[in-house]
Amino acid sequence: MNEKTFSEELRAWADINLLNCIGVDECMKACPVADPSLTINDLNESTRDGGKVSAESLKFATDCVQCGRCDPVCPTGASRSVMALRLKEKMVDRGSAPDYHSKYFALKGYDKSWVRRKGFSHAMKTKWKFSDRERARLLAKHIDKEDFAKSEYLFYFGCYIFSKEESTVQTLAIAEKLGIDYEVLGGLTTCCGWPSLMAGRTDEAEIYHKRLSEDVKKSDPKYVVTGCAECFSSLRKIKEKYNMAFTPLTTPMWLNMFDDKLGLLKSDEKVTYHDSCHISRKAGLPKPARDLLGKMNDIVEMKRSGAKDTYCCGYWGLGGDPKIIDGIARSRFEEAKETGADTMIVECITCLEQFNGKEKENPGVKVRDIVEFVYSRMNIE
Amino acid sequence: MKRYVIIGSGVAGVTAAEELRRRDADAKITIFNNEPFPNYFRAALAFYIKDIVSEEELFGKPPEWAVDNHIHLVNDKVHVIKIGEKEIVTEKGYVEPYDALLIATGASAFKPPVNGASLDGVMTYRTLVCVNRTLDFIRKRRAKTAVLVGGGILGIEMAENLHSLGLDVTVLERGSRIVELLFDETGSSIVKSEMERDGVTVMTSVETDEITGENGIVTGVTLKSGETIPADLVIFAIGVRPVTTILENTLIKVDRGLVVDERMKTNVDGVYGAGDVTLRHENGEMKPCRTWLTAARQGITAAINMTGGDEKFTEIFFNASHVYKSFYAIVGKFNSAEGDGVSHLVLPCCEGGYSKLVFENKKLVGGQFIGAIRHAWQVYHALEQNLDIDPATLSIPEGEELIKGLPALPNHII
Ligand SMILES: Cc1cc2nc3c(=O)[nH]c(=O)nc-3n(C[C@H](O)[C@H](O)[C@H](O)COP(=O)(O)OP(=O)(O)OC[C@H]3O[C@@H](n4cnc5c(N)ncnc54)[C@H](O)[C@@H]3O)c2cc1C
Ligand code: SF4
Repeated sequence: MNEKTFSEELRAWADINLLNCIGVDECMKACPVADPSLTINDLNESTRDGGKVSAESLKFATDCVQCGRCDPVCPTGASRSVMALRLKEKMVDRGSAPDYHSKYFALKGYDKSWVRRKGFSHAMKTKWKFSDRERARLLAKHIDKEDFAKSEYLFYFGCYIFSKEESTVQTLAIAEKLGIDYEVLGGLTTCCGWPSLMAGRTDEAEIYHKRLSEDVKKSDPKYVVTGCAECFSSLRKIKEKYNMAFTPLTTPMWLNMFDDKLGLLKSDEKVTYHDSCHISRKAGLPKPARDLLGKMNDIVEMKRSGAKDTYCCGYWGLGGDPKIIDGIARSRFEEAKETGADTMIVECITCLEQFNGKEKENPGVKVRDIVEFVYSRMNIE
Repeated sequence: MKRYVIIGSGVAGVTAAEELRRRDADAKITIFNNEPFPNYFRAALAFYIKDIVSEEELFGKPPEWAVDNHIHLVNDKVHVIKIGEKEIVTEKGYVEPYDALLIATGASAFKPPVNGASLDGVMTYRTLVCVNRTLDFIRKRRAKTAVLVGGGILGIEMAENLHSLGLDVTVLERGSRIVELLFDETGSSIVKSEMERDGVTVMTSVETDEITGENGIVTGVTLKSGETIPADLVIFAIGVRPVTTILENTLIKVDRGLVVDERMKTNVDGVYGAGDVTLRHENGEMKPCRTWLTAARQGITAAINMTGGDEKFTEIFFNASHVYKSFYAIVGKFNSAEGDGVSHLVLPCCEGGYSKLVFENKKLVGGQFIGAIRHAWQVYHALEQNLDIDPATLSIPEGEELIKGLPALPNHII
């Protein structure tokens, strides 16, 4: 086990990156949110221990979506995204973190609002009982549950178990068709800690990671599968930190293991694929989703794609500047349109929700989830 | 109230000042600076030349830095150090007493005393001033061809800059291969072929005899072989010399550089050194500084000791930057040759890249990398955590970029 706290680890990494920064400004040129007038010297001074935080850097820290576009472009191999996380942390230390985070936590859950969270889960279950039988059948019993059977696969849905998208239900429907042995972990009690991180609350993230590691242990799975890129990052993190034996998988990685059983139907329609920053870039896994899609369709790549170059979806805008967030999403739709494909496939539920929310303003490209796409092309029986 | 004086506002000097301030909130800290610009990112000069960063963006600290941190930044050259009186005197006649003094005067580019070295259009590559002078010269003279004397890392960097400005560039290297201090033969040849693909001429095993000129302006370089290479611009990049002129008539020991011990202390009480000006005693060897991160770290070590702490300078050497159009990194004992317990492991990495790990008696000790600089940080973290790494367990899984079997970094996970 790695003895350092998450915060210590980040700080050590940010510190050496700062010392090593030679000021070439490549990170800021690659960044989708930084204002061009923000200089590296201001940012470094704001980030370093003891340095004064400027108003410009504070806005930047709030807007940073942690996409990591800044990381591969640095000739010193430094990670501005980690330095930005350190700046977010500093913002919390100074008490100047904007309050949208607390609104988010009121719903998504931190220990203090336990009662409210239970209430939320209950309300969702009741709603599904009357309106959505599939959800009631497949999902309701797993929400915030305590007891788990030992199983080979654990589907980790975290807070997106409540998502209105079909991804969760279809994932389990596929699992049932494949006849695999699985458990499900989801609900507000099993947050992956990502919202805390985005808010610079690393101590909170640490608590969530610890709890997640304990929850995962309960079913002692060989594989933990998730359709959310941030959840996937947290799984990789706890595996490393707590020396756990499971293998974290994205949904495409999981589906690729069964490609001979899925009976995927081919089509001539060209599709384009939006890489998740966390999966393609940070985890360095741009291939699995492409392999999976390649079994059904031809992929036409967007101008900015793959591990190094992919561009953020704009996230769901956890309080960042809405003008920036909308602009980012729009540029993604435009690039997708330029490929000539009518469909843009995504593998991460966060990207999916973000794009679906912006589809009306950006007509011409249909956004589809990779699980839903596979589901529609399966020919199992 | 303690008084600290720092000579030189390069990275070693300013990082020391920040550390002094962190450790002593009340001290009087004064930095003297000899360039017309305060601290700037020297290592980003290439990006300034290529017009990617502006002069303003080149500054290493925000304009309010000195005021915010209560540091007196004085633009005046230190002229004399009076060890007995514990004070310094500047060119303008300003006297500043100190309790502890840090000499961080850096290094200057070396121009050899060959014929023609003082002709107009014969330049070096170290400061913003000399870069601006070079750019002016190119513009005014409409320079089309350039010769770089020296195939080290800075020579190659300047060759790239000038090539991107549209000049026809030739690099002259005395040794048998370029960037010899950083890479093994494979590494050097990767860089060389990248340059040649771009049309940059690289000549190795050639020696410069003299610089030719007409009407006081450079026209070319004559080699010892008798061959003359015409050039509108000649740049010497054959190494640097520590700036020690102000130490000449003092008791402070200089031997090709300011001599410091592991605590960055000189032979004189209360006088410290950090950065490119120093030569450091380490295990019977004399080590120059040469790089940005080492200079910054030395500044920190010096500051800790100046404020009464007791800290030895130790580092896992790390240097990463750009070489021609690629990124490179060198870590730890990156240049130990094979044999005598030392073995190398070359991993397949990326197109046009190089990833070589160095083991000493089966223990990972360093590596050299072109393109694959994330591997370099993985090695750095393995060294930092003192991990036992068995070379046989290392691999790069298909479709992935990182070395499996070495630690991942926070930014790969979060
Ligand atoms: C073009 C270029 C590119 C480089 N690129 C890289 C890179 O990519 N990566 C890397 O690691 N390293 C790089 N280096 C090396 C790196 O920049 C140096 O190692 C580092 O700057 C050393 O810092 P320093 O503070 O010791 O010295 P300096 O930066 O030289 O600063 C010393 C300062 O002291 C001042 N001074 C001298 N005498 C006096 C006096 N009597 N009174 C007052 N002030 C005085 C000088 O004017 C100067 O401003 C590069 C160097 C150059 C020139
Ligand atoms: S992580 Fe993304 S948003 Fe944050 S600094 Fe880097 S490029 Fe900008």
